[in-house]
Amino acid sequence: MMNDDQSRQPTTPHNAACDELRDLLPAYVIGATTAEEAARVHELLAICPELESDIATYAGLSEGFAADVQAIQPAAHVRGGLLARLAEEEAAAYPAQPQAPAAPTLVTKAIKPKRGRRSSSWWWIAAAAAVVLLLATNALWLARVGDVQSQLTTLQQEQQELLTVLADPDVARIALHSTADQTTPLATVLWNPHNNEAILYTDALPALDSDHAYQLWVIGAQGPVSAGIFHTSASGTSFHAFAPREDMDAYQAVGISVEPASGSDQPTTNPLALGELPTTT
Amino acid sequence: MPDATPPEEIALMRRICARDQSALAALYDQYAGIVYGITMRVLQNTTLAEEATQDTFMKIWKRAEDWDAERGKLVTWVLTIARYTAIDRLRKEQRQSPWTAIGLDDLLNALSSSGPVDSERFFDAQVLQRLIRQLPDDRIKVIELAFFRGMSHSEIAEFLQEPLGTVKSRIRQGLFDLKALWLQSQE
Repeated sequence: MMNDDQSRQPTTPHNAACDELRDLLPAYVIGATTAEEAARVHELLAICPELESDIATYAGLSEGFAADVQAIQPAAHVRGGLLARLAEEEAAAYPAQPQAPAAPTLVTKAIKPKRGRRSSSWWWIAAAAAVVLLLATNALWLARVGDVQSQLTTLQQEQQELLTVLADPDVARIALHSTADQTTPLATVLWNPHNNEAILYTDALPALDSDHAYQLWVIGAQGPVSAGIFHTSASGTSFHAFAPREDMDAYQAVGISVEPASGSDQPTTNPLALGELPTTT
Repeated sequence: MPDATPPEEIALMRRICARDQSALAALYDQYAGIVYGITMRVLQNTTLAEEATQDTFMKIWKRAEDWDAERGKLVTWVLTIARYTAIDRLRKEQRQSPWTAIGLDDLLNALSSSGPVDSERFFDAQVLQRLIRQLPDDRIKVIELAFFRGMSHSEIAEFLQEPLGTVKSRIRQGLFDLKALWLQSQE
């Protein structure tokens, strides 16, 4: 069988170093070298940088040994533990801010446009005010949202643990209506004010192409802040858990827009759904 | 060339980069089986393998931005993190020195660095499996002890009661041969 000896050159200090490196690289890539040998590899790579590509080759080849490993489904508690750990670490990394004094009503809260974002933020300012109008049409939706948690439990069994977290009598239910007619319900947000965890549930948003995603925004005095991107199924359903960085009182509304698949720092299109957050006064 | 990472998995990784926790849950659903399979192969202990599986997905969450779809398949990246995480845990459990010969960063960088042939960034796992079976058993064994158990040359020599030089030669020649077989399969 052919081996790398065929690529060896007449002996010079440079070639000798490269030959030594060729000998060490296979073991280095699979982790069989000692710390001293690994240090030698790093020294030799500086002399023979042309062999760096061999590292990628051996790394890729050796991964073939992992290919015949039998997939084994771990127990369900592993998934639950992972998601709980993730939520805990994220909450620690992005703790909720101290609660700001609440303004008496939504309409008294000024929403400042973000500097340099005038092109799209005007719509969001107007939208935040417009959500007041949605109150008049909320009665029908409020009757429906009481059933939202049980619907979620049925449709999203894998989210049981998150739902348990959110199953709190003080959870706020925020209906998001279409901005086209201000009556069509498109999504619901359940927001737990005690642990500041929230979920978005949709059942009427069409699936987007692979270049686009829905993006959820929480809208406060500083303008819209991303609460993550999400996709819907072919039937229009989606379940999106998020942890707002500030308490609910820091925001006046939530909205959804269509953005590029990787999401946007700020909305680049007008919102297609909006919902007003309840005031706590 | 085998297909690269499917678009829906690339989209998942973008969502993870945007800190969408539901995307990590979806990625877990996709990869938990093979990740747990690797961690069980390395650790051979249910509790430790479960913990290593969780650790693997937490590393994926924290390092998602490091993965480049154009420079390697997601499955390779995920399995590399899983194997490294499990070996690291194994050596801690056995109170052995850390697996310091090559760090996870070095390993992930190696996987994503440019190979001499473009297709080598996207090795076909099924072809590789077939080629590995053509290697002599004694070479496969020493490579697997390093690959799945994190053993160094000398640890393998002691474990197999073989001369150190023999072990080094088998690892080196095993991967030389695998490379040669791969290049032949691409002609």
